[in-house]
Amino acid sequence: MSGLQARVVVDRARFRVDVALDAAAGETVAIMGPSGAGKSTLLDALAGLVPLNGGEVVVAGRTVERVAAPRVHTPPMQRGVVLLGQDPRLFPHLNARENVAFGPRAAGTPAAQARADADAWLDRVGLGGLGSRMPRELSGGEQQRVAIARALAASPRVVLLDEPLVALDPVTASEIRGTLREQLVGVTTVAVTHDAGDAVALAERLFVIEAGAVVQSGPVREVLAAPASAFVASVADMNRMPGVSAGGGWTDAAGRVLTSADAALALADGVALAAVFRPRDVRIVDGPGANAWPAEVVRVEPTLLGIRVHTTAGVIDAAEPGAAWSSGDTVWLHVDPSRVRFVPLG
Amino acid sequence: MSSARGYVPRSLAFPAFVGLAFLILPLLALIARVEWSTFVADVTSPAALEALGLSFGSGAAATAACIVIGVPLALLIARSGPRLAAVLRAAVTVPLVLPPMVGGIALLYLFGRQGWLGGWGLSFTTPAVVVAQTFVALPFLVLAVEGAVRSTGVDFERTAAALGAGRWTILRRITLPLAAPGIVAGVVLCFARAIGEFGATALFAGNRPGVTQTMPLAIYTAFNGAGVTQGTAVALALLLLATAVLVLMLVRGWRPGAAR
Repeated sequence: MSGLQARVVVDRARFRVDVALDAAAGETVAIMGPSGAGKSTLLDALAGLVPLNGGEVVVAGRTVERVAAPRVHTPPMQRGVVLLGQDPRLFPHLNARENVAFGPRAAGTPAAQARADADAWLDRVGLGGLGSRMPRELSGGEQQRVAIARALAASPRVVLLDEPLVALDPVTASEIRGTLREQLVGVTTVAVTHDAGDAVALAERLFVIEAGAVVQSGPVREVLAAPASAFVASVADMNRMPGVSAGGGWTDAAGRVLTSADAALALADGVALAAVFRPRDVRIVDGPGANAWPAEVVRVEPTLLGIRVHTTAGVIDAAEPGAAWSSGDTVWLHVDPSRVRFVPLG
Repeated sequence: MSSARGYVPRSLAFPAFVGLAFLILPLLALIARVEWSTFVADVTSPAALEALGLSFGSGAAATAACIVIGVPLALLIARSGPRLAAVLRAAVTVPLVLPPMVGGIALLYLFGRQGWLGGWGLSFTTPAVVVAQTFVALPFLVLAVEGAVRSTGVDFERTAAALGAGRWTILRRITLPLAAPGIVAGVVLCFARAIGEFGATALFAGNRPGVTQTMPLAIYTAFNGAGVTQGTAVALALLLLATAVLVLMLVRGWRPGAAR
């Protein structure tokens, strides 16, 4: 067994985090979840900064923490787990080269060798020749690149990413995302993110954590395409309406009815299903009709491509910037059934 | 800089200048009394050299002792929980606000012939001077270093630990270098306080020329009509003043390039 296998149980003041997580050797898994769901607690526990109340953590085949007897607690310095956060946390009194050389030197590599290796690492993250710069002389993006080089130079068994792109402007974030993609190949990684795009770009599998528990997991695109909760639907930017199968179609508590040829609906009546569809597949139509339902406009937001209309029953992307809807209006929404996926409700 | 001036009433400049004059004029009066023609002879007289050597020697020893026990104490306080840290900080601050005389009496009751540790035979010896100076100077070092270590926080230490560094490596390469501005300020203040020490030394170590008579004691004795001449005393006082100014410049001039 290699990679990372963990079951992390940590009691917090309001709730208990109980998450089972695994990553194959060299695999990147993404963690998403609303604020306060326990993502940071999970990372801290994997890094050894927060003691477990239950479960165990196995890194590269070695049990580094176990609550049940025989109890194991490996201090952070002996775990081989490195965290890359939003703040690059470069040592301010050491130049870029010494920052990168820090891990290898602590592990006993002779200083000259460690410095030469550090320069090679800086080259790999696109900072060749900047080894003598102090952290404060580097831009935010450059600092984050040094942090990546420093983390990887320490030959970690597992890298934890805690939203390392959040503090950067979009162009820089995109560049760093590319660097991470290149450099994390073959490195077992757990990446916490708020951005579905980051999850798709960096990870093979996605774990969704809500209120301290995994609510959905699987290949990233599959999870995002079949959101099992309102949170996943919102990060995947999808409408999600819970309901049941009925008469070869779907209906929900408000009496909305969708007809479809989707195989999921060939099931018996009364199976709980969520109707999932993209905001851009919804049309605002003149009045009642098949696959249409009324909704009240909550607010209208201009977007890059037009407008986004939030209603009491779904979000619509429309291309008409000059549209006359305003909050309180009742509109009829229509969606093409071929654009709707029906997802079993847990 | 004009934007930094704000809107303080202009008439407050008057009491402000009175305050400044009150601080500066006595020092100018002292400098005016120095006999420059005999200055070199005064500070190189055997009695003056003895006091000078004793002061700087004991001050350096006291500063070294403060570093050896003060830096660990500062680290302990900085990494304690808020309640324990407040208690420890108060305990360290007591000698700082205590009149040095009281400190001297307290030391006498601990180390004096009748004291708990009287068997060590420490009182009224040169080591007693170092002990008295350490007692009064230690809080300066501890509080300066503690503030620096605490404000740096533990995040860099955690980062270093995740990169595989052991505790001693983290101390040597991360914690102490990041606290360097505080350590330098603490050491300098500590040394200044040690060589200026009078009250505790007088009570606990006494006033024996060549053994426990440091510069402040020599100056005091001279103005009481004994020991070195008053000219020498004024010259020594000027030396102490110059040392103080130098210390101030060292503290202010220390602009940490590396730390934020």
